[in-house]
Amino acid sequence: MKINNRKCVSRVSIKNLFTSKTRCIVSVIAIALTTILFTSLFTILMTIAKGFEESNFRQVGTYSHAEFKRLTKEQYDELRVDEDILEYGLRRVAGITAGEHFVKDYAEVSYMDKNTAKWGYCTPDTGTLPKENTNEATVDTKVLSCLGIEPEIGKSFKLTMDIDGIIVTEDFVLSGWWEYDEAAPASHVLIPESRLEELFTKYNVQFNDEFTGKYGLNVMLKSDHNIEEQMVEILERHGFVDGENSESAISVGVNWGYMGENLAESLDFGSIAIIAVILLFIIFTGYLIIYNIFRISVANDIRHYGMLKTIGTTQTQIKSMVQTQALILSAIGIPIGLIVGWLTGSVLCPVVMSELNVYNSSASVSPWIFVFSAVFAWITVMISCFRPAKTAGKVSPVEALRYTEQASGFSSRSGKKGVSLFGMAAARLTGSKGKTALVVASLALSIVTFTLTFILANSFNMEKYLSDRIQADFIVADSQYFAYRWHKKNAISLEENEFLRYMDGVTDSFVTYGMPSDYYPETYFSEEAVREILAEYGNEEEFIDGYISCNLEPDGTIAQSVQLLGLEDTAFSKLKVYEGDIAKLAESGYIAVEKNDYFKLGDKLPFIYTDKYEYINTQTGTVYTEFESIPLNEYEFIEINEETHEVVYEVAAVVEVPYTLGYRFSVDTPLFITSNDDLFAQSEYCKPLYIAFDTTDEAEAEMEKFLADYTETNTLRYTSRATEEASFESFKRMFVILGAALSIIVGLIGVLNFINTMITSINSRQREIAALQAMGMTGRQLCTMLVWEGIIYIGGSAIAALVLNLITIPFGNLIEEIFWFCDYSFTIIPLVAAIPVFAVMGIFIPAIVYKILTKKSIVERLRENE
Amino acid sequence: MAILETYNLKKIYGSGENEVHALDGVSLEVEQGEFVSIVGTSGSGKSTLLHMLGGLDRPDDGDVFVDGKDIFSLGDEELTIFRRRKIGFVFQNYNLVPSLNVYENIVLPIQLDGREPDKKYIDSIIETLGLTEKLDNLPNNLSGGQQQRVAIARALAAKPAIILADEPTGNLDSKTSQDVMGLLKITGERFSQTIVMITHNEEIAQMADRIIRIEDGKIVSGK
Repeated sequence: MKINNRKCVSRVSIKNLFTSKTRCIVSVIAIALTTILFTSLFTILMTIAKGFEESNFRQVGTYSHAEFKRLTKEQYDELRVDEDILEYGLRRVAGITAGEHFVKDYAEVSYMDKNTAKWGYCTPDTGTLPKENTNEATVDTKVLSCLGIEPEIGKSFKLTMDIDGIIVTEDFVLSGWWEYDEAAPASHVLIPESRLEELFTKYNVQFNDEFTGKYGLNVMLKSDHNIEEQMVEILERHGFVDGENSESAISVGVNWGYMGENLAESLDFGSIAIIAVILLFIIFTGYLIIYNIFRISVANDIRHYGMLKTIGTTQTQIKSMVQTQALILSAIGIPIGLIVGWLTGSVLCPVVMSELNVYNSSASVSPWIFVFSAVFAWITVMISCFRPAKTAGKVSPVEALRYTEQASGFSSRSGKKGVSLFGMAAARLTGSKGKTALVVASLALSIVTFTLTFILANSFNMEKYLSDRIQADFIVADSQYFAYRWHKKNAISLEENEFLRYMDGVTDSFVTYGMPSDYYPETYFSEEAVREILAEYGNEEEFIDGYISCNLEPDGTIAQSVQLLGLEDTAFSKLKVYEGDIAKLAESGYIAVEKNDYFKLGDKLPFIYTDKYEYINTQTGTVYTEFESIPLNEYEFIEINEETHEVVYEVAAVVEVPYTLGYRFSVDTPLFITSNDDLFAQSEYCKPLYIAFDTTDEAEAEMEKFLADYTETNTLRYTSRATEEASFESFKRMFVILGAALSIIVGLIGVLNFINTMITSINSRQREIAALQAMGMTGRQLCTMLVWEGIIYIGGSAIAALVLNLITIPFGNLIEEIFWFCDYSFTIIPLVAAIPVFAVMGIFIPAIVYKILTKKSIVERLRENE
Repeated sequence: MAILETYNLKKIYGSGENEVHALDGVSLEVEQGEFVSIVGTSGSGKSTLLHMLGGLDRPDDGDVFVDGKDIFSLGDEELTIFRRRKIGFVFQNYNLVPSLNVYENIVLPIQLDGREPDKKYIDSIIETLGLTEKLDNLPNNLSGGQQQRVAIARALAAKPAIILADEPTGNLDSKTSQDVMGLLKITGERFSQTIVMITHNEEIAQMADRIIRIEDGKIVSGK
């Protein structure tokens, strides 16, 4: 039989809920605080994820979902109106810049409509996009600097371009510009479509290449999942196929930023574990207070529930009443928490983001933040009110009338000495152990969070950090090198920068060479080694088997590319040598390897260097002998090692290369080190990574100043003692700010729990206290007793926090492992410092509650609950 | 000699139309060692009167003398101290401190006064009330009758001038009520205590030496 009593149940629970205003407020604050913790965490995480994505988009050059490439006008007009396309944008390429200003760099000259420009980060910061039927152009700051013109609206300039093989020079008027982004794949000159057509007509362009004048349709689809399938579906609907080689084929370019490395994939087990621990910590923190509030309120209302049972309310109904109350309180508390939490998170985001190598974007407003936070907050509330709801449901109507909170298992307590005020306070708190424990744990948690933050921040050892980070007083390299993205494009130019080695005050210096990843040499690994490496990087068994069977040499080995570093003799001493003799590298035929599981001292290793490559376009079959000669719009080609030579090295030393002297990113195979001279001899593709040098102490400040100015004018960056100190301090600051924010919120929860417990416990004892006063307990004595209760809570929390802190000592090693620059040093200073603050609270809160309590006369209070 | 005297006690609650004369000029005297019960219906003002006698509430007019002392001439803190030395309370709902054991509850008023309990005296109260076996128990594990016996012991412990009992049997069944009343009377006699008890139960009231009836804030008989 189904009886519709839902409405009645909620009405009773709502009525009951609002009988206690204080309880409502306290619960809402507690739920809000818990939600704040979740929301700030998720805001930070999602902002990091957004930063990752943004970094990808910046590298791709757009955040549009995909592009239909090289369309005719008719195809463009047909496809753009497809129902599955949410928004679209047009891009037509005129050509690329040419001439003396663009020897080193070039820019694409094209028309982009407003959408394409926006998605492609080409919206001008100053000025506007070029207007149709004018000779306006909008450019990025890199083009401005290449052209050597002042950023000034209305400035006219000449630009030489290569339009389908024709070199032309035209006049333009600057209508706006935007800041060039180092990560962007190309620099841009935007012109109006009318000008584009005009140029084509004027120079009688025959459209010999694949892209000039073609319509590129950039689209935003309904969702960023399965972009490729969605694109193909759209094509098929219009009778086209995906591809290049037939009449009806249209090429599709999917933005890999939506598929590439994102936060979820880059998370290792450790990070996930840390996030899980933080989530559990927040749930636990929230549980401590929310459970306590519900427990107390159910205990206070137990007669009410008993009465309801007497008149025929079922266990399930009473349970659902408690849950309905939780729902109502959450409906108020969670939204407040979401808003405040997001604000908190967005304040903390910049601090975190500046420490990560991702695009520093503004705080994410992803709906998932709010969904996840609300769900976790709700879960916490549900877990917290589970037991109180059960208690309320199970209450027997008869016992409810006799129920007092003291029913905690004790039936007797020996002692014939009588009690002092302290004794009474202590007896009360030990009598309701559960409640006391919850408050003590709640307060202790905040103290522990605070002390651990302090201990950790205090353990960060700058000397240790610097001794590892500073291998030379100054290291100068391209900014991309420091951003872990070194490749041949941003190798340092020695012609322009080698003068740094010969400046006044420079004592020692060296240049280190690297191989761009396209040209990594190969050496032979055993099959087991390759299996191990592939498995370690998360490849499926099936893939590994396939890979091995494809690449296995007859002798059972497999060639894999490896990172190779070329060091000058003077830099050998900077390496940490485990075994062997690093000096041997000066002779030919010797190599060093970073400590690893696959190669050992004395191994004789054949290295295969490629001298000549060929690139074959997989769609057209065209062969290119130079990477540089591949047209800009062709991406899909395979690389063939056309000519190679082999060198056999003997491993002369097993070493460790300090982080700051290597590539700053690692690949799945070990790093080898050879001498500079040898690297030159073997490969023409090696490029300078960085210039490192020491100066005299006197010259250091001067050099710092010089480099700061010098690197302003180009893409170079440098590190020095000062920059490393600053980066250490900034990391430490992030840690302290996050720790402090966490401590404050957890602290608020602890304090709220304490205040609520004090208020409710004193409130529920109104009659008992009135009786004590009636039999002669003076106001001073009463106040003293209540203050003792507060002090016991605080003292208990301090002891619990101390114990918890002591427990962390054995984990000091673990902390040193996570933060290698940590010298774990335990201290109780923060604990000692926190105590007075809490002690003041422990004294004042009971005193204030006493004042409020005694506003009612003894007689009134004696009549309470009668 | 009168251990307790009141003169023209008045207490008015509310104002205007809602004005209630809870006490309307009550004057009475209670002699040392006397057992007086005050009876009246609910709302008759008997509880208000008891609260005035115990100094828990201040009258709008009139005086109360306990042991010759004008109690309302005292400040709140002094009055409290006076109360713990001179007045013992027994409440309808016992009002024991749930976290303290029986013994601790009994000696509480003495210790609040900073004195050491008179061990022999306390032991004899405990024995008289039959609580010897229960001293370590916490109040929740006692029956209603037992809890009220503890409350009586507590009221006696400080050797007050007067014991005020507010419906001491109100929460007890009739058999237990008889037992508790018997003990109250016996201890009163044995320790020569003055007892003023309010009740609405005629049968219980009959056990007192004198019955004062109160109606609409006025004493109607037994003065």
